[in-house]
Amino acid sequence: METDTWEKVESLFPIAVELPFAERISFLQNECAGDGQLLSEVESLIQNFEQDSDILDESVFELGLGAISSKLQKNLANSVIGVYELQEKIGAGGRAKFTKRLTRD
Amino acid sequence: MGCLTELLINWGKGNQDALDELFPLVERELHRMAHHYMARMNLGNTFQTTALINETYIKLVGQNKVEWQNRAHFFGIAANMMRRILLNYIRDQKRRKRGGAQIQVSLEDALVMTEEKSDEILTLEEALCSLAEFDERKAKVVELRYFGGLSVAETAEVLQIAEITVIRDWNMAKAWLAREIKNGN
Repeated sequence: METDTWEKVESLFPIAVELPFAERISFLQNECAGDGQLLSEVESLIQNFEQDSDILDESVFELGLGAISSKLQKNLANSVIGVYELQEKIGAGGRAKFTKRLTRD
Repeated sequence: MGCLTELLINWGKGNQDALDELFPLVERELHRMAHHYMARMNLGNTFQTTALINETYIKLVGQNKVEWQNRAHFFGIAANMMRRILLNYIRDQKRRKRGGAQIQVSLEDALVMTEEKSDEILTLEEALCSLAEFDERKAKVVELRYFGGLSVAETAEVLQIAEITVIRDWNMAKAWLAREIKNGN
């Protein structure tokens, strides 16, 4: 999209999205003054906003922490600590993680 | 950890090398945060993401040295890093699956993220990159809020813009991304 059209969309969208339907139509027709592309762009964005207003509402930061943790545990499994070789995680409780272990000779 | 504060200040002054040094430090803290998070989850505790990042930051630099601007920088880097970590994780998971070894995707992976969620994040990432091509600030707002879990006020602080601008950017970005995703990018 042209930068200046996007800038116009940017100035109209936040106002129009707050207006009741009937008022919105007259507001946009007035502001767009015959610019059909601008009008349909703002209307299309508002429609999508209303249909999918909950998109992105749940942050994925915690999922990321889960992913890091899962990766760390995988790295820990199969590692060698002293005389022990950690093979796989077999359970967790409290603050401890229990790992099946095998004493190396 | 005076080192981190110094690096944040230097980066704030425009020293890009400081950012390269910051990444491993922030990454280490994210790892620590992940341990902390899982431990609390195992105990059945719930908490706010922001509180957790804040707590980590305060521990990192010491209570007395907390300067809002540095904290904002730290939040910004953490969000960007979380975006990379998540995408690497998902792509890695997909690669292993494509390798034909379904069994290699462990139960733990499945617990962290459903396949549906993975696909959702990948699709969003693609749309977000398109948005960044012509409106970088809106893409940044999405990165901070969606990947970094930041509030409107914190996002405003990181980007040095008004809260009302964050809200407007956020709403418009959501509308644009929803449409882009529906149209199959």
